[in-house]
Amino acid sequence: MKNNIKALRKEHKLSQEELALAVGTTRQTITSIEVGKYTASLPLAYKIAKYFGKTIEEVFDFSDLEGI
Amino acid sequence: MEDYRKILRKRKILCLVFGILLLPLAIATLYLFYSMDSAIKGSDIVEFFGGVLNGLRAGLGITIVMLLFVKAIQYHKALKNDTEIKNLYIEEHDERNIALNEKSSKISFNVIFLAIFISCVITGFINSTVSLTLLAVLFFVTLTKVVIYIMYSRKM
Repeated sequence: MKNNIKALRKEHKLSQEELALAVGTTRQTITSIEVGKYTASLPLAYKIAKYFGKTIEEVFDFSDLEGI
Repeated sequence: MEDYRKILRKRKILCLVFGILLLPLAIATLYLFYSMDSAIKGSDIVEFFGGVLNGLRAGLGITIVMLLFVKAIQYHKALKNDTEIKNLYIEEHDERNIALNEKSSKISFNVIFLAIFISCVITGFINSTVSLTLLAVLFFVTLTKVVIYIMYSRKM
């Protein structure tokens, strides 16, 4: 699943480690989510979106699911 | 985080208790390792596998006890440091790690099940006792899976 986490991170001048610590996960999880290898759960997606002051839809791209 | 702190305290005590309880056993395996190694007599292959089994038993005994003490020290250190306790919590509750464990367990189960099934069929031609034992293992594994599946389907 595509997302804007990397861009938002750069915008806020945050490292993956800092974001991971802020949302209660590991740096590896943030890396996997950023490159699309792993899809975040709803609670984690909510935490990430909330941290950046955005809605889940603004951070994550759900267009892949529209055909289902 | 306070709940997690309580869990860590309990875990630390359990690790210490089991570590102390198993320590004499580990020392006994180590003693057996040194006293039995030269006592294993027979053909080269018997001596080789006898030595391997002897070493394996001693290594396993010592490793388990060491691991218990290492974990107890890790929990003790974490309980004194807020950053470390948070890191440990994150590491344990990281959803990707949980997903990885679930996925690898599921695949391993299928591979092990298939391997036991194939072994059961092959050994059926060679040794019926081994084949029946493997069949019993298959039955037990399947039964366990079914029971746990039913248990969780009621929970979720």
